[in-house]
Amino acid sequence: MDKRIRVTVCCGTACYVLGGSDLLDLGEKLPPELRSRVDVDGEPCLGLCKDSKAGARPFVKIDGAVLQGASISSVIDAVRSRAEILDRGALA
Amino acid sequence: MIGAFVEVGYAQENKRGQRVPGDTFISQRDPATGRVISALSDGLGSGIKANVLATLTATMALKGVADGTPIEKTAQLIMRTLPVCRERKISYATFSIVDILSQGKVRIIEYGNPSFALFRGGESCKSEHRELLAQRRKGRGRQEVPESLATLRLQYSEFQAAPFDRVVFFSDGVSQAGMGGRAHPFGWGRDGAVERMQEILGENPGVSARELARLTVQEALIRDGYSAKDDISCGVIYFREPRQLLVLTGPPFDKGRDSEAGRIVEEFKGRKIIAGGTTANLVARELGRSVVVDLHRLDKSVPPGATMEGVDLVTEGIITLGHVASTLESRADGSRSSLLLSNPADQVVEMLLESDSIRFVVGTRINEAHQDPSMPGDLEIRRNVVKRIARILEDKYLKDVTIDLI
Repeated sequence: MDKRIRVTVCCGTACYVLGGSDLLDLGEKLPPELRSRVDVDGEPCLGLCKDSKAGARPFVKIDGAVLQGASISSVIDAVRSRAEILDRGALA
Repeated sequence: MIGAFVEVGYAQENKRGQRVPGDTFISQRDPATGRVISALSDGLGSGIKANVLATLTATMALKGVADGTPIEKTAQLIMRTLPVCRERKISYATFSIVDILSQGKVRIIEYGNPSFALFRGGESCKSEHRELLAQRRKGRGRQEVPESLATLRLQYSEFQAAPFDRVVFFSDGVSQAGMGGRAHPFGWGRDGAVERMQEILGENPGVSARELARLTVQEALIRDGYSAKDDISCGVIYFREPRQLLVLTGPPFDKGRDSEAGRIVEEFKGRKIIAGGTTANLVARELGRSVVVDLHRLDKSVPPGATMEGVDLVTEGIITLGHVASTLESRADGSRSSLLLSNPADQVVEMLLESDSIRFVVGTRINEAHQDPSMPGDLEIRRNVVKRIARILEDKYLKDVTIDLI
């Protein structure tokens, strides 16, 4: 079975107004082949907005790795490459 | 009666086809003494003319009572001030004034409205009243008035409120509802209305003033076949244990006080709201609990809410509170947004209005990310939004509000 991937969207104020609001229905916007193995959840605030080195808002975490300036398409790309890494690991 | 909270609620339905109510209900609470004065007036006719008469009357009645002017004098003054109706040749608007002094002493003055109902222990009970007479004075250039209207007969009642008493007063749109129908050719009457209120209290003994007023108006509207034949208004005053609500928003200025914020939430007796992502996380950390964001409600006007054990509602901070402030500013008291509260801001509004005594604990640590000039829209300073909300809750909804900064 494919390993599951967890995507956590920051729902804090700063992320929300800078595009995070578009990421809330990410679960429905994922392509069908990814939808079945991705769990999307929210976090009240990832706390990254307070760290000037963390990059641009909004923030999303994919299996714990931070993706800055996230959009639907950049999250999908990141989830795809995460899936590839996991699948390669499973084959080896 | 010390410690009882005086909840004031009212609801209103315009006569069909009218854009404004012909009845006016106003109320004020003196924060220093706790005195609460409410006035209901039904203006002659309907629509704008009635609205102006009723607003004038209710406002003058309220101010007169607040100033300590003898009520007969106030009544005379009102009648002299009101414009004379061209057809009926009289100036006329009814009023009911309920004056609650500290310690629960109640004075009620009524003119022309159905007499109030007092519910004690869920049962309607009679209260003594006496008549006050006020002469309608002949003003310069005024028409002679018929003998029957030359003397104003005011009903005056005075009693000591007991805990959980309810005082209900209403316009004749309530008592005459159903008029002309087969079941009640003259309307279901004051007695019919009072009986129904008693049933409502039997079904739900803890019903809030606001909800009882809303249900009463709804019952009258049903009897009018959902098309109000007159303006229907109902005011309810309920003496009860204050319902407490805590709203914690913002992390403490000094990080060393995070544990205190957690303790405030833990120890508060009443309902609890946490507004703010960082705040929710710090309380969760302090109390060893988890916060779960609810991504299923997709009303995007405000960020999603969350749940945490021991807390009734968890929301985002500034955007949500901004929505709460504007909703409270714009809506009429008797209304309800919808049965399906669609977003966390609506849920906060509902919880605020269902509470009497509200304590805001505002952490003043600034989130520097919010000060970034590239942020779209206006992210206000937290304590200013809270002060705005507190002022509306006090002035418009007569809530008892405190704000503590940490």
